[in-house]
Amino acid sequence: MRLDALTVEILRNYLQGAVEEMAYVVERTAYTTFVKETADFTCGLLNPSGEFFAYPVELGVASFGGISYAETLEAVGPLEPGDVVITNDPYGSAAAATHLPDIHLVKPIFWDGRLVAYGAGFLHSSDVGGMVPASITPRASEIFQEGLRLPPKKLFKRGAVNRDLLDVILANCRIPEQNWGDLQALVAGLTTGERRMHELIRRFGPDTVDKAMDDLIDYATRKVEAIIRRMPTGRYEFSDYIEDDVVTTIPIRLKVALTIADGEIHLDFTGSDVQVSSALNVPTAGKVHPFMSVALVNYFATRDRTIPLNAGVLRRVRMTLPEGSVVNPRFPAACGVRYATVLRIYDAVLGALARAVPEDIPAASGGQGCMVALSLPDPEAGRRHVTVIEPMIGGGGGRPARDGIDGCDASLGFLKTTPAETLEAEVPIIVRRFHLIADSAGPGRFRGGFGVRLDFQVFQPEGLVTARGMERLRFAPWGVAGGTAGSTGSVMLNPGTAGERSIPKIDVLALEPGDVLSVRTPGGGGHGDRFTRPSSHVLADVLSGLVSRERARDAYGVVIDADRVDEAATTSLRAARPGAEPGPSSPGAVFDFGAARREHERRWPSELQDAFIAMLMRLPAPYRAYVRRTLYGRVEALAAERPVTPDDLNRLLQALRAAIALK
Amino acid sequence: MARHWLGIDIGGTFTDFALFDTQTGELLGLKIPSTPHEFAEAVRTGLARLADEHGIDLREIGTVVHGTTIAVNTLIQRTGARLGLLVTDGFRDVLELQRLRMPNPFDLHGSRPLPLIPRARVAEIRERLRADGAVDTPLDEASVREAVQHLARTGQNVEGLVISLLHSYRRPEHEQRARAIAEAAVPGLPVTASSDVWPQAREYERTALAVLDAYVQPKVRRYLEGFEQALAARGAPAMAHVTKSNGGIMPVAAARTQTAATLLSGPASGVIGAAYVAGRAGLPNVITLDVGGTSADMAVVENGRPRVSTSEHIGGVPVMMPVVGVSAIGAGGGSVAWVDDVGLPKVGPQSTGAEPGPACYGRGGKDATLTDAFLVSGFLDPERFLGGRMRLDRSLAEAAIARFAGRLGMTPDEAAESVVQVAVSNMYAEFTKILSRAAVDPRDFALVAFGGAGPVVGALVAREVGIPSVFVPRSPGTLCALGALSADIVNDAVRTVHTRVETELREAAALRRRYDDLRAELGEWLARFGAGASPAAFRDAADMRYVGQSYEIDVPVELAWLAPGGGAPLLAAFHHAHERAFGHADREAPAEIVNLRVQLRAERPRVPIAEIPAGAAAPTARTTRRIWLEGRPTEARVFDRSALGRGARLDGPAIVEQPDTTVLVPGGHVGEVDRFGNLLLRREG
Repeated sequence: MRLDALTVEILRNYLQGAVEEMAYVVERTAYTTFVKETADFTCGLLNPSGEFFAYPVELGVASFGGISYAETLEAVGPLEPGDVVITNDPYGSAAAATHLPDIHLVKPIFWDGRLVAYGAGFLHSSDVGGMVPASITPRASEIFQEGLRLPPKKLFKRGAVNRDLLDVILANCRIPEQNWGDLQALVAGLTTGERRMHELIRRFGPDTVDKAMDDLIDYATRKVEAIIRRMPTGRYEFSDYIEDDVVTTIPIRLKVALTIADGEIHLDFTGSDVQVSSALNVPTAGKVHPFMSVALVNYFATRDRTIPLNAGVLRRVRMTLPEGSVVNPRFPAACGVRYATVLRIYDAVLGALARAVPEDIPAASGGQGCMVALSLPDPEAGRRHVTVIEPMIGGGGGRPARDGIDGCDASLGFLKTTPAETLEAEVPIIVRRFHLIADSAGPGRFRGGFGVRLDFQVFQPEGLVTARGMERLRFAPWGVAGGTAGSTGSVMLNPGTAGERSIPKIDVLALEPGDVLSVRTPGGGGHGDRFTRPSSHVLADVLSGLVSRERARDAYGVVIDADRVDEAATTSLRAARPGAEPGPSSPGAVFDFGAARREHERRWPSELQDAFIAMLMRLPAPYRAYVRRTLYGRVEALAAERPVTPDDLNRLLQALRAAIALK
Repeated sequence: MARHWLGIDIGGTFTDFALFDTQTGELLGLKIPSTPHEFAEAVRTGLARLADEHGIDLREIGTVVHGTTIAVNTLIQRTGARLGLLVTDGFRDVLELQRLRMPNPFDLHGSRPLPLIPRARVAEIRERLRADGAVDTPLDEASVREAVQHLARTGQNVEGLVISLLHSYRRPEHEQRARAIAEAAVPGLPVTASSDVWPQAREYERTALAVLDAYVQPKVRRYLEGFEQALAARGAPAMAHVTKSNGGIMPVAAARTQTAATLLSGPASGVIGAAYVAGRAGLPNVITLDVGGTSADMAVVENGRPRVSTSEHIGGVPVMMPVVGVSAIGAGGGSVAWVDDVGLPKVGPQSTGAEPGPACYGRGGKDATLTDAFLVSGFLDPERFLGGRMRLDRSLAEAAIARFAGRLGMTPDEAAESVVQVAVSNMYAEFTKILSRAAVDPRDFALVAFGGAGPVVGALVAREVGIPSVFVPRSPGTLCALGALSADIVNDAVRTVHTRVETELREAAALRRRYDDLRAELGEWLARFGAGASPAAFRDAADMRYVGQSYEIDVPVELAWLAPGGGAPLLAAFHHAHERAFGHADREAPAEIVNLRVQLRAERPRVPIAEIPAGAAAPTARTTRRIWLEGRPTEARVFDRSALGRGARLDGPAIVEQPDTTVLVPGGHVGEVDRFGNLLLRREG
C-alpha cells in the first residue's frame, strides 16, 4: 500500500460513507417505483482509469463493482468540468452497460484543473423504447429491437444539459418524464460524490486521496488473494443449462473450468454455447466481467464480510470468454434478458466451486428470477397497464451445515415481494395462495429450501400474463455432496377444477375472467446423504406440514407414527436403503442432476457437446444458428438408436456442408 | 401531595433515577446497578435510597415515568410466549416467507430471522375478504373451531393465539368473530386480533406486529406488576407511566394492552431528554449522539420533535408503528480495536461488554478498547472515572494499546489516537447516511453528545460531519430519566383506506368520518387511561403517494379540507411534502391516500430546568494534563464541570470532568456554559 494503514482505514470509512450517501440520494430522489423498490441501480466512485475504487453496498446492485468504464471514457474523448457522459450500449461501452434499460452516467471530478476521479452509476429505466413496453423480451433477435441505443455521448456539457441529445432520448421512450426524473436523480448522486471528493481533497490533500484510490483497490485485492490462497489449487469443471433458447427447444450450455493456482482464479468459459438468436446473450466484451463471477464474489464476501466490493475484487480473477459465444456475443446480438443466463452461469460457477471448496457451497437453487406480470386494459388511459405480481425465485440449495433458504437464495436474495393486500388494492385480482410447496425441497442431510406457489385469479377480460425468466421446469436444481435434486417448477391453469390444465413455460398467456393461474417454483437441491438427515429434523418438517409422511419414509427412510418417529422401523428401513443412488453424471462427482438432465446427457455426453460447440465456433458466424438447430435434430435422432460420437458429428457436418454448399 | 416527579430509566447495566422536586426545583440523580433477573429489585433499591439517604417522603411522589427494555430483551432473546396463529387459507407461510428478501442477500450461509411462531403452530381458516372489505368467502366458523382445537388443545398447547386475516384493516368483523369463537372455545386464553393492534395494510408486517405484541405480553405484564408493587410497597402513588417507542408515554394500565409500543421505550427516552434540554436552551434542531459501552446511537430531532420512522426492523421483526428513528453502530467505549488480516486498524463492532470490559477496568479484559485509548490519550483521569467510584488502571490500558500498536508499527500514543480516529470515522460514515436519508443539512443542526463516551468524541465527530456546534447537557447521565419525565402522553391510530384524491374530493365525507372515528377512538383511550393529563391535541395526517408508487409520505391534513372541493389543498400539501422529501413533485400526476393517521398528544407539565448561578467568565483550571491529540502532545487544562458557572468560557485544548462523563474540548474550539449549565462547544473561526 502507498499510504499508512491508519490513513487508508480512515479514508476507507470516509469514501464508503460518501458512496453510500450517493446511493441514498439516488434512491430518495428517483422517480420510478422500480428504482426505489427493487433498487436496480448503483452509484460510486471511479479512479482515473475508470475503475470503481469505492462502491456502495447498503443500497443498489452489489455485483457491478468490477465494471470498467475505461472504453466508455476513451470513446467519448477528453472531458471538462461539468460534463456528464451517458451510455446504455453494451457494444459501445465494452459491456459497462449489459442491456439497454441500464442507463449509465459518468461524471468527471476535477481538482485544480486536473482530472482526479469520476462519479459513475447506472439505473434500470423502466422503458427505453423497443418492440415491447418495458423494452425487454426474450424474443428480440437483434439489439435494434430492444430500444434506443446510446453510445457514450455527453448528456451534459460544462454543466449544461445537451438538449438535442436529451430530446432524442425522450422521444424514444414510453415514459419520458419518469426517465428524465430518474436521470436527474442519478446526476444528483454523482454531484454528491463530487462534493465529497472535493471535501476530502481539501482535508487530506490531492496526493493522499489519489494514493487512497489505489490502496483501496489494493486492499480488496489482498483480501481476495488471501482467500484464494486458502483454496485448493486445481482445475474444476462444471456445466449447467438454460432449458431452451426461446426460438428453438435446444438447451443453452454454460460450461466453466475454474482453475486455482498461484493466488489467482481463472474462469474459462470455453465450451459454452454459441450466441443465440434471442435476448439471452450476455455481453462482456471478452474481458473480466462481474456478471461471470457473481457466485465467486458471493463466496469471497461470505468468507470475508469486510471486503470492499470494488475493482480489486476481480484483480486476481482472469476469464476466457470465447468471442461469438453466449457469454461474449458479437454485435448486434440481443441481450435484454441476459440476467436469466447470468443466473445459470451463477449455478455453473457454484458447481465448479462445489468441487473446489465443498465445505462452503450450497446445492443449486430454483435458479430463476421470474417476474410474473399481468397486463390489463386500462380503458381510462386508453392503453394497457402492466403490474408485476410477484418475483418468483424458487427454494435455495441445501448448505453444508444448514437447510436451503425457502423461496430464494443468495443469487437473488435482494428481491422483495409485494404484499397481497397491496396488490389487490391496486389491481382487480385476488391472490388465492402464496405459500411454500410441501415436498418440493431436494432431500439431503441438509435439504433444499421449499419452492413457492402463487395462485391468483383475474376477473377482467383481456388479461395477459408474462413470466420472463421462467426456468428449471425441466432440469431440476441439482443436489450436491450426495444430496438429491429438488423439484422442477410448473404452471397450472385453474388447479383443482374440472378445467385444470398444465401450461408449458409462459411466454404470453391470455386469461379469461375467473381464471386462476398457479405458478410453482422449483425447490432447492439437497446437500448430503438424505438417509443421514436426523430423524428429528424429518419429524419437524412433517409436523410443519412441509414434508409428507410418505416422503419422510420414501426419501429419508424415516417412519412417522402419529406424531413421533418410529425408531425401530426407521432403523431397519435405513439399513435396507437402496444402495444405488441415481448415478453421478461425471466421474468422481457427487451431484444429482435429476432425471431430465441425466437423460439429456445420455444423448449428449460432455465430450460430444464440447465437440459440437467447438465445431460451431469454427464455422462462419452467420451459419452457426442454422447448423446448430439442424445438426442438433439429427444428433437427437441418431441418439435415439445408439450413442453418438464426435466422429458421427463430423460426418453429419460434412453431409450438411455438401447439402447447403457451405465451404 | 404530588410534590415529586420521578423518572426511571431501566437499562441493561444501570437503572437511572431522576427525581424532580416541584417545590425547590431541584433535580436529584441516582444510578443503581440493574438487576436483570428481576428488574423491580433495582427499583426497590433506588426507592429505598431516595427515602433513606436523601430523606424523600415517597408518598409525595405524584408521577412516576419509566423506560424499560423488557420487551426488546424478550424479543431479542426469543423468550416470549408460545403462541398459535390463525391466518387466511392459502397464506400459512406469511411469517416464513416474510417479504422474501434476505437480511444479507449475498451470504451463502445466511437465513431470514426465525419467525416468532413456527409453521407447525400456524393454522389456516376458511374465509376471504376483498380489498374493499367485501366478503369473497364467508367465515367458516367450523374451520376456526377446528384450528383452535388443534392449536390450544391437542399437542401444541399454546399460551396465546393471534388472528391475522387478509384485509382485516378494512373490515375487522372476521377477525373479531374468530376471536369470539376462540375465546369461547378456550376460556382464559389470550387472543390478539391484528386489526386491534395496528390496522394497516401489508399482511406480513401487520401479522408480525400483532404476533410481536402477543409474544412479549406475558413478560411485560409480569414486569409491570412487579414495578407497580415496588412502588405500592413503599407507599408511592400508583399513577405510573411507561415511555413508548413513539417518543411519548402512556399509563401502565395502557401498556398492558399495548405491549408492542414499549419496544423502544429505552432509546426513545434518551432522544426525548436530549431534545428537551436542547430545546430549552434554544436549540430546536439537533442530532443526538449517545455513545455508551457497546454502541453509538444517533437520531435526528427537528423543531423539538424526534423524527419518527415506520420502517424499523427490531430483533428481526418489522415494526410499522411510528417509532423514534434511532440508528446504531457498534462503536462504543467497550468496542475492541483490532488489526485485520491485511493490516488495517479497525474498531468494533465487537465489544467487550460490561464483563470483562476494557483492559483498564482490570477485570481480565486484554483487548484494547476505545475507553483504553481515551485513557492512554489522557482524555480520562484514572482516579476520577465515574466520579472516582471506579479506578482505572492506566498500565493495563497501555499494555493493551501497546500490543495493538505493535501490529501497526506505531508508538502507543499514535496507536491510541488512531483508535479514536477510526471510531470517529465509523461514526462519520453512519452520519452521512442518516443525513442523506433525512435530507437535512448538518450546518442547520447542533450535535447533542451524551452517554459516557459521547462528549469525549462529540467535537471530533461534529468537525468531520460539518455540524457547527456540540451541546453537552449538564447531566448527561440522567438524560433518559429526564426524557421520561418530559414526554407527553402520545398515542397513534391508523387506518388503511386506499382512496384516489381528486380536486372535487368525492370521498370527503367518508374521510372526515374516518378521521372523526380515529379521534374518538384515541379520545376514549385517553379518557380511560390518561387521568391527570391536559386536554388532547390531535395531529391528522395521511400517508399519500402518486398512483403507481409503492412508498408513501406523511402529509399533515387539515380536517377543514375534507369537504367537497377540498382536494386542492390536500394535493398541494402532498406535492409540497413530496418535493421536500425527494426534491421533486409532479403536479399533474394522480395521487392517492393509502393510510389515515391521527396522533393524540396530551401535554404534561414540563420539568423546569433550573438555572445555575453565574461564575467566572475565565474559570480556573483544577489542574493540567498532557493529552495526545492531532499527532502531538499538548497540555490541556482540566476543569470540574461542577465548578463552571453560567457564562464560563474556556478555550481548547481542555478537559471538563464530571461524574457521568468527560468532555473533550480540542484545540481550536471554545466552550461556553449557558444559564442552565449546559456546555456548548464551537469551532473558532
